Amino acid sequence: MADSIGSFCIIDRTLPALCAEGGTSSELSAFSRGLLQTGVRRLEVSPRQFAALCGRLPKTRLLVRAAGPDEIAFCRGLGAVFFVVDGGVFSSLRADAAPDFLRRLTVEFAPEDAAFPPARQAASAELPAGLRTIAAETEKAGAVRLRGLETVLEGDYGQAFRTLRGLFGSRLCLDIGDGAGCSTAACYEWLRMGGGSACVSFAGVAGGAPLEELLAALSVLNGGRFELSDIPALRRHYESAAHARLSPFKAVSGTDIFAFESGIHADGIFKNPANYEPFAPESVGNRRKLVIGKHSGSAALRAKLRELGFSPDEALLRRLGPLVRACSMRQKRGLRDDELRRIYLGAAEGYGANPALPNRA
Amino acid sequence: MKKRLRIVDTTLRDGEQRAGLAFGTEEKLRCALALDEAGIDQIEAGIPSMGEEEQRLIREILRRRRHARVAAWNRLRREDILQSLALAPDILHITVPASDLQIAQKLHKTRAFVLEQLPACIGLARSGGSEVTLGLEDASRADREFLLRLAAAAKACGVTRVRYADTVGVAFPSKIAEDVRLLLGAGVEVECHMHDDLGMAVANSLEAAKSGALYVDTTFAGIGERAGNCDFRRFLLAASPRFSFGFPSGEAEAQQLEDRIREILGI
Repeated sequence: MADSIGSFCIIDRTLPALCAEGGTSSELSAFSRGLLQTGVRRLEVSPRQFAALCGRLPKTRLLVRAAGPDEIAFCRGLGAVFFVVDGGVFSSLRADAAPDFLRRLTVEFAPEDAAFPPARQAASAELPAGLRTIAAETEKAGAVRLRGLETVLEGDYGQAFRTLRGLFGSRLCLDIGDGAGCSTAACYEWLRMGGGSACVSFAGVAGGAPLEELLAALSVLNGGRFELSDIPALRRHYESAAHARLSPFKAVSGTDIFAFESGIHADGIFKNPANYEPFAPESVGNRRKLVIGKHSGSAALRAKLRELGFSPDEALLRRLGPLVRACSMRQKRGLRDDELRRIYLGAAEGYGANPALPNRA
Repeated sequence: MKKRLRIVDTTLRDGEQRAGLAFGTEEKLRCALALDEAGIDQIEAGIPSMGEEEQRLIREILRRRRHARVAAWNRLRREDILQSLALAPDILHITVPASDLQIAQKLHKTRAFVLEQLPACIGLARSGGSEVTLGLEDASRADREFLLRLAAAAKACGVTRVRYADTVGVAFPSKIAEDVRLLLGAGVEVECHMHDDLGMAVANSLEAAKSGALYVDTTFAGIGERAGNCDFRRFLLAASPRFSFGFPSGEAEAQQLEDRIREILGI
């Protein structure tokens, strides 16, 4: 396991990306509760979502994304405490805003943000120019969020992160985009190097690091206390809101990531699941599943047949192997239990064993 | 000038190990030839110890490929290696558990046993004239000193390339950087093989390349055990600004090749 990490917080951005329109308040509330239960610090929400949730969830766990003073006023009227605004809105607010309000404000910048003093990203792996200006101008804001930095791992990310920490201290939250397929790793390294905060969203729906990946990494690698056993429920909420199915092999949250078949892996798992599992399936609300197919060895066949109530001897297992392989290749997939049962009974009959007798415990 | 990386495609070996996948021999041959035609450097064609059909496939790929180097995968077992030798692949890859967990729990052996087996197995593997590469299985959970000892022992037996395998996908970039540099210090070339259990396979592969690894293992559509392996197209997207490849590696070309492989294999 890597070293323990200092204090940090995770901000979830799933809801505005996924539930902009539609969905009942109770669905939104259930999804929100599930997200908070994972251990993220706050959920980013739209003003409309805040209005729906403020009577059901602690207001201090909600971070309202406001497009301007009117939305801020509306949500403050409902008891909102924490806000995130872009640089342009901040520059119109900061002169008159009370210190108390500013301390609970996050100011967000994106590479293309031209509304605030120069913040253009000079080159793909370089930090946005004008960072010093941003740091100075947002000094009184509670937090600053930088969006983008998708290609930060291409270069010396250690230096980039040290520079950012030097400028912003623990106030900086990074929302690293996944355009280069590296957002989870980049966020993980950011926090590992002392970064104060990072943004995530379930399955990366907001375009950045997937919540389940970053939290699993922090749990597995650094003993972080995140609760992921309810991922199946979060996945169902996500799929309902997105009208799309998540890949069954999606890292951490996929339904079939603990399915195993190949002989060498099956043998290793039977001896000790830790041989081939990065974390226990139950920790993410999943379970191990033995699949019988082209790559199944005798250990897997024996285990599966035992599940089905049979106890073949070694000779029968040797006969079964090629039959299972042939069937799997014909079907171009793994075998269902009934298919395996049929093959076994046929082979056992031909072998002279009595197939009808299941093993007696 | 961009550094040249070599892609080791393991779609037909590790990729097909995704539970429930069963490619036909004809599809696998077509896939291998498509990869060869596209300029992929190395194709990990399969595991000879799986049987005659797999051996026939590897033999046919060797016969018909024009450019790619073809590798056969083996456990650290004499029987496996003998079956590979009969096929005379360009590369005979031997995988050895490197972590104390796998050595004890999978092999029920000791570090000393693993080290003792290396000279005989590598010697046998090299006797047929193939290049031999050594895979350090579960390297990301292995003791660093032992990784170094394995690399040094392999080098002493004539191996010039070791594969760093993040078998259960728990590595992260800064660890990869340290581990790859450690292995390079032993005087061997490094190949990286990353799994995506925590969503970091592409990032880890990129970091391995930045740290000096010359070979990167990928699969198409990222298929493989559990959450899969480093995805070919996504890796090219991440690595192309900084690295070159021996084949057209723009977004469009990578997508085109992926579409072709998906169509051939039905994935």
